[in-house]
Amino acid sequence: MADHHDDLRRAIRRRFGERADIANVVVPTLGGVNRTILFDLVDSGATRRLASRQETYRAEDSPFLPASLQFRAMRLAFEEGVPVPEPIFEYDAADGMGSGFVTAFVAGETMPRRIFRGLDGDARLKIAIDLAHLLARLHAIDIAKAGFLEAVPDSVDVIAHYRALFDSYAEAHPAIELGFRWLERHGAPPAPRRLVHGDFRTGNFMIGPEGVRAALDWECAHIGQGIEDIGWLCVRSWRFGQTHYPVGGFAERAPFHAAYEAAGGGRIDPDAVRFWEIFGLVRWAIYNVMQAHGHVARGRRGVAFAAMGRNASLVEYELSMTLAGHYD
Amino acid sequence: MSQDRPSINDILLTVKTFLDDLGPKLDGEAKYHAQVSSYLLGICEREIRLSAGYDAAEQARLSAFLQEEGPLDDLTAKLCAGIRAGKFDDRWDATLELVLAQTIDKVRIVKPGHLDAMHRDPEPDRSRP
Repeated sequence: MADHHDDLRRAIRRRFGERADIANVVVPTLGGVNRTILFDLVDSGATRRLASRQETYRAEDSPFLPASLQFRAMRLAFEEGVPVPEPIFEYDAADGMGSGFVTAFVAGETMPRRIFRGLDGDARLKIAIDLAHLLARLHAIDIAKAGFLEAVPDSVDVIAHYRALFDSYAEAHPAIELGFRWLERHGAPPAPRRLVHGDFRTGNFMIGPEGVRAALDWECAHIGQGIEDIGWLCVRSWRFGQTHYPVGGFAERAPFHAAYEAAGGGRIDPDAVRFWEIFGLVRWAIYNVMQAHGHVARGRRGVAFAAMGRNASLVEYELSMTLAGHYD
Repeated sequence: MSQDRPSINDILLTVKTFLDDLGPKLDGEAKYHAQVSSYLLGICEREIRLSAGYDAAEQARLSAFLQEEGPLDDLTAKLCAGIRAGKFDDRWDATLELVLAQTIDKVRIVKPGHLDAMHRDPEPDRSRP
């Protein structure tokens, strides 16, 4: 039966043999620059739901990891017991499908507002504690095993990387400048180097009724301070209206910190969280500027990208309010 | 040139209303893009109505802070360069106040509901034609 997924079928048969097939193919419209295909791998009577992810657009100055390094970071995390969709295989040149990979499909909900709808206090806290345990496990990984990430810009100096990215757009944003200046004057409190997820935020977690099922989107993984992940998780933009719950909209800080420390993640310095939260606001504002740049200057046009350019100001407001002490 | 009615703001809000009615009849990406398009037209309508006043106020604030006159873009560039060079470190609170005022005005155009209660515009909504 012709279903326009012959390339995927061929890639599957190259790895699982000529008797393997694909079925129940769904291409969700998620937006963004990755093409996702969900399908069943049917092999010797057994069926397994998988997810294919292909990169369809890559700017030469993209701050995101190439697919091959994402795949390796996910594989390492998976082998070390971090809940992540099991990496199955990576596409190669012979597949003719560009950069990308196939992982296990993890069912559940990622959309923040749907997650928050009908979530009671116990379920909220359970998710926050799951996230703390997940991070503690990730940050306990021996970074000698993640040497393949040492050379990426975020591992060398994550703040300098975003400074350079921002400068490349040559746009005047006083709030972003003030954020950078604050970071420069305060400096990151010293901390040991860890494997960092890099985009650990509400929206990138697969959630089920029992709690957190998987951490998704490893395209910002790098070697850095574990506390970077905690600061990013607490950035106000990821609370999706649940502003009184700084930890991703799920919980207050104290129970999350206690769970992370009890799971062996190390002591959390609130000043360090604040530092990385300020950086997170600067970084998220720059992401929005980056999307506008793609729209205005790179021909990667669309209403969503245009809106993100203007939404930079919303993040700049949150950054200014946080620096002024009005927002925590 | 004096155009006939409706005004530009009226036209923008008319198209916005059309998109708001259309959105629920669509699915998936088209529905999302209709919502975003409506959002963008709202920004256009507020910018046309409000930006002249905001720009003048911002220019006056920047001139007072930097103690010099000039076009808004030049003054903003000088503010950015000065912040980066640490020139205003000893006036941190005043700099932050200036930057906050600028972001408040930007958000008043982009998404007024995003502002904290302390910055919501007390004026009645004049966005209806």
